[in-house]
Amino acid sequence: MRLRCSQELRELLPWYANNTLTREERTKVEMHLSRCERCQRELRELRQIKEIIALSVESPAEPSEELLARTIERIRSGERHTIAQLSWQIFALGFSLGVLYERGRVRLEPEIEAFGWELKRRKG
Amino acid sequence: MHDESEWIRQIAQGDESAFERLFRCYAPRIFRFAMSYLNDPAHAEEVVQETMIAVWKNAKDYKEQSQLSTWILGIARNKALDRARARQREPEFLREKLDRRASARATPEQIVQRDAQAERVRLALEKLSLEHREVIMLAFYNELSYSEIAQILSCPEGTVKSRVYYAKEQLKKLLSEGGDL
Repeated sequence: MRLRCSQELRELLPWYANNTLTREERTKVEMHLSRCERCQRELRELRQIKEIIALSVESPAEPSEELLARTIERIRSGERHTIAQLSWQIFALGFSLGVLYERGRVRLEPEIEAFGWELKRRKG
Repeated sequence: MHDESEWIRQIAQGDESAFERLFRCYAPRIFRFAMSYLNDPAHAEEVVQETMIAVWKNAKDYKEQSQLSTWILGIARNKALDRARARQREPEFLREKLDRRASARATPEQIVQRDAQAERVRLALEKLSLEHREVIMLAFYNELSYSEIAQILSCPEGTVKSRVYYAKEQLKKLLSEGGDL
């Protein structure tokens, strides 16, 4: 007797073949498979497809051992670069502010200015 | 049982040893995933590296509602697609190394036969649309569940199921024409 297979069941077969269905779905598919030749044939084909697809991908299957060390080094050098860049930016900003202050284009807050004069007085 | 969420929290605070643990756990999986897009070990390693650097930089943005594996593979997918697009602009990279595969135990005839079949399968896969090829590789090569694929591709689970169904029908037809199925 030929069974009618629901679209829902047939759509689950690839996931039955790759072993990722939930237990409940798996049981449902297995019950259907035990009675349906058409789906059994379909499952055989899916397993065959899975096997030959693996053939089409280049070996090796794992990355090299040194990849972790290379990645950490890249992260560290990126961070060193960021710190160096930030230090340079802070220096450039301070220098520009200093120049502008000297030329009288920038006025500091009166409290900061007063503090500066006080320091100068104590030193002098 | 390791706690990946804890690792991510530690990575967000700059903990390198947590990063190493996560790297050892995920690098083989990302590599295999990238191989299914690029089929080139050197490029796949670059994808692993770029993905893990992105994880290091963006660990604080990881939302625990999503699975960590699909978050990481989602990043890897973008890196792999960028690289695949860039590679298409470099013709010398294309189709270069099927002949490098060899097995010490296989006879020369078996190697030739297997390589010929692999080439036919690759050609059949190339005839599929990018969408179809992608779900076929994710389901049959990477062995991901339909819900994982739906999260990585940001689409409904029903779409993934029907896309795999139609992609497989088309692939089956192409492989039967070549006598491989």
